[in-house]
Amino acid sequence: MIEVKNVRKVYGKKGSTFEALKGVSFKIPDGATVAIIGKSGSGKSTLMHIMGGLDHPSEGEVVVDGKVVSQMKRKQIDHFRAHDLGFVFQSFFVEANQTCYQNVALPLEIGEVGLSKRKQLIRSALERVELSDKVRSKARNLSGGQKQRLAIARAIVNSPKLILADEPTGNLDSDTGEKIIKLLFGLSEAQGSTLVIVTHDADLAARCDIQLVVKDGQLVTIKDKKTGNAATQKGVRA
Amino acid sequence: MKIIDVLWRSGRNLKQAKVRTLLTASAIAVGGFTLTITLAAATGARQYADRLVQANADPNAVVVAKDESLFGTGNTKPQEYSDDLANLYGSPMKQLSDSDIANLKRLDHVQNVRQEYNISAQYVTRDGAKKYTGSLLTYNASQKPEMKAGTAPDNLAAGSVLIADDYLPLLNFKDGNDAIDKTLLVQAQKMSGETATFTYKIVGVTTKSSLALDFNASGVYLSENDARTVHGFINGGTVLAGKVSSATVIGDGQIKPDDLKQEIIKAGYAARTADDIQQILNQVISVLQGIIVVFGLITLIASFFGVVNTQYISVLERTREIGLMKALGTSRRTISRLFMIEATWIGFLGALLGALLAMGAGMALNPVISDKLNFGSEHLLVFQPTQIAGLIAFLMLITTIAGLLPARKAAKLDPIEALRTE
Repeated sequence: MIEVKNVRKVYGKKGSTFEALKGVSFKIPDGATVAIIGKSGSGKSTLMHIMGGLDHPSEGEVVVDGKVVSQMKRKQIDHFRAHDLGFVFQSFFVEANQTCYQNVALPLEIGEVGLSKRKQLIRSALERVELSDKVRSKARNLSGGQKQRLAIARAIVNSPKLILADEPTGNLDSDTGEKIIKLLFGLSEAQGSTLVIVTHDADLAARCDIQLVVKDGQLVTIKDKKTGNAATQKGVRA
Repeated sequence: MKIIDVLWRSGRNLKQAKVRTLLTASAIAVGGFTLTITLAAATGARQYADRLVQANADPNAVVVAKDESLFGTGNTKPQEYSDDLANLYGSPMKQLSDSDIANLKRLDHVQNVRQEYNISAQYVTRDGAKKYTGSLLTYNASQKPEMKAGTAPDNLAAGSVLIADDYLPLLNFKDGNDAIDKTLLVQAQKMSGETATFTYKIVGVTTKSSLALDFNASGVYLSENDARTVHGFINGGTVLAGKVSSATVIGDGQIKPDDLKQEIIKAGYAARTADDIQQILNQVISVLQGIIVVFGLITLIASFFGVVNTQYISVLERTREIGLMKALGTSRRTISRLFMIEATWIGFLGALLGALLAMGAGMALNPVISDKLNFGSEHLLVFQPTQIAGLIAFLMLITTIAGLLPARKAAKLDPIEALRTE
């Protein structure tokens, strides 16, 4: 269960402040797929960063499984990110000069997983994204879709509870993007992970259990497929 | 992240930037090279000094003079006249008389006192040969000259001499063995012009040892008695008669040379042991070594900033990678370690490179240097594994310190900002 409670984020100092998030609240049940939709500058990336503990809210809090992420000390946040989170980025951020194996190994090295278990986890992760034959290939020799699959393998290798994907199909053609989305959905379902996708693609968003529409730092709509609720921010508060 | 993973990861990062790593390491290598060579040269010089002293001075012997002026630390200003003053090498020096020698012999633990006569023959020759100059030396078994023919005796009998191999062609000998048992004529001359010829039997031929000091390199070795006779003849009737500027006191083996020296000083004489001479030499070597080490350290300062610069650029280049690692939960400490250990690796590589180059240069240069300096089979550049290991560790420490600041910068990067960098 992820709870975002009245989160505000203000950038800048007195005089020239910019309010990126103006009090956002919602709940996500375990295992749900969530789309955060909005135009660029709407605050959706900031929201994702705060959920992932990369950024601190100016006000409000984020609670993941009863742990208040926004109040954690640096070490605890590092631990949280290393064990409970998986990140997928728009521009992949795979290390081009390293092999697929080494790329996927990174979260396990950070999480201090033993070498033999590491091998086994990496193989299984690469298998699930269908890159088993590329174990020893350098990431720079992969196509865009393969790179994103590699990034996904890296995100799921430590079986995180929460996968945060920031425009995962933004740099891919629609066919490849479709495959990546299917993969993400399939994997999060298989692992029981919660999947949060930041996107501006309405079609993609429509396939998620929950859609959160962000506009000018505010949550304007929440659509929940399962409950059929289509509520405004005010409705959520009630 | 475990330290082993940090080690591998930083090693991999360096491998990916091979040229830059190698160039930065080269800067360290220059300092490493200089310091390795310096240490090797100083070690070699010390060993050479040791051998030199051992070959030329009996470790159990103490050189004694009337006062410090012989050792160059005494009074060179005008001093009150006394009968034991003699002008030697242009400065007045008090001489040891027979009664001084007797005094020294009476001291405890003294086995023998040898008077060091400083005499030159008017000429040295043999039947049918031209006349040549020659310095006459008191034979000293403990110095064991290197022999070309015959054997170095423990005691040279009166009437017997050893000659340097330089005389062989001059005196028309076919070879060393040809000279054995032949007769040598030594002519001596008084100040007054009166001359006398002494006849000796050649029992051995010495050859120039690589360790022999120049002044006893080529001459004629006489027994102590014969030296005394010739000295007595030359200086008869002068103030120098029966006097020597220095004597060698040999202990009985039951007393340390240093204790013997103290006794002699207490008795009112100036004294030096072989150790003293060695210490003076070592001091000179240390000063020279210090000067070169300073230059090596200056080059290290330059390479220090080179490493700082390289690591700063490396942090800038890898901002995105650092951001990703932080986003995935890498602690600040790990990021910082990653960059520090990279710097340590650079130091290791550079130091190793410098040391290997120095050793290579040493192997190439040693024969040439030994040849030029008459070192014989000994080498000037002596590389000691412990010294080199210590130096490598030192350079690794230096570069690690150089990596500190860039590492801090990396550790402090904001992951969001870092990931925004495309």
